[in-house]
Amino acid sequence: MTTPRTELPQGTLDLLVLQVAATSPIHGYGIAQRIKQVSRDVLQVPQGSLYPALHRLERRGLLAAEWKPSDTGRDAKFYRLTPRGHAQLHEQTESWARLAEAVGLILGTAGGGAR
Amino acid sequence: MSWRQTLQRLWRRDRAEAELDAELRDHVERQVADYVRAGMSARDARRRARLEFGGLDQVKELCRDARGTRWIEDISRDLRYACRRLARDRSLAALAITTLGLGIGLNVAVFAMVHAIFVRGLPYDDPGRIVNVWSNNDRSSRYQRVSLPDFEDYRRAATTLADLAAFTVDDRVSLSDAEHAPAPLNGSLVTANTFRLLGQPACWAAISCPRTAGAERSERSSSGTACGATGMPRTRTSSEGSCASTASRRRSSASCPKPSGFRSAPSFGGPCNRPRRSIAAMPAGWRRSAACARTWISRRRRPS
Repeated sequence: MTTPRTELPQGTLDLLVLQVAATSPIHGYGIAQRIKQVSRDVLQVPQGSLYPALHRLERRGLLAAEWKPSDTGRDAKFYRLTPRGHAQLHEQTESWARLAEAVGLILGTAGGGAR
Repeated sequence: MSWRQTLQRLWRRDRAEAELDAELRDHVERQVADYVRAGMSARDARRRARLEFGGLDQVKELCRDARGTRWIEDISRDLRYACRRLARDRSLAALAITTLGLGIGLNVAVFAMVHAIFVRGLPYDDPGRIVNVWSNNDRSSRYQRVSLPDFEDYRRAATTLADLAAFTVDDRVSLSDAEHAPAPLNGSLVTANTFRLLGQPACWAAISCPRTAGAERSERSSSGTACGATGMPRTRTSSEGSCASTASRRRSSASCPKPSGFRSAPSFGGPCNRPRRSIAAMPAGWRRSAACARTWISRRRRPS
């Protein structure tokens, strides 16, 4: 069975990356896999946007990176959330919830009106 | 920036590039391992992972943009390219460098002049209130020097000016003492109130009354305004700046000693061969009357 894949809405990748990195330090591949698994294969993060996003968040001080030995035996770059990243995650989560609720409300009424 | 800092930055850039490469390769390797675990052959797994990842260099470019160091890399690349091109075409390089040099030099000269004349102003306490006074002759030209009797009359009768001081223009004098041979200086005779009027104290002054050869010779009547003033204390000034410029025009500047180098009061000789009462040296760079506003007093309407 194949699940239909959905393109990530503009600007949500940062939020998802911050959320995934909030629990424990994790490398880029792990972040992509986690998003894919948790969304039950609905969300697919293209590498072309994941790594630039990681570097951008690192530059803005929301993520901190560290090279550590990993399960493959090679060193990998692990990202973790900084205190500023936590604050940003909190803010963006609330904002996303408000947006989703508002969009849902409008779609709900519009659907009702069409019926 | 020192060489060490430059090298450090370059080294850091290289390290950042190496890390970026390692990070992206690590991603591909993990993907390959996952596919192999799922039952794919190593070759197929690698090909698929490569295809899925897309252009490694494109992703690297995007990461450099995100890192915000792209402009440094672009500039260094452009500089290297420019140097290679210039090294290849020597005559073009020479032409470009000459053109730039001339352009920059000309601009510096013009702006230095504008700065000296319009921006820096005169080194006096209240330069806006100082005017140059000349006499005027209808049959010859303006900018006539003022004779000493006229000057004294002007000074007595002046109502619009707080005070008047007189000086001679471009006298050549010589300065010497026991240790130093006479050296030519650009100086002028001024009335004693000059420094008070300009609000500029002389930085070095001494009194001396040497009797040099020919000191008793009569004065030349045409030599200026202040020279020969009877009963008027006289001060001779020289500025180190004008001294150097005079010396470089006429001799080497090494022959122009600084007045402060003299241990005792030096003696001097000049066109005005009366006993000298005092000598003063002005701070370096001091100019007596550069770009002063000018006022002409007609000889006909000479105040009585």
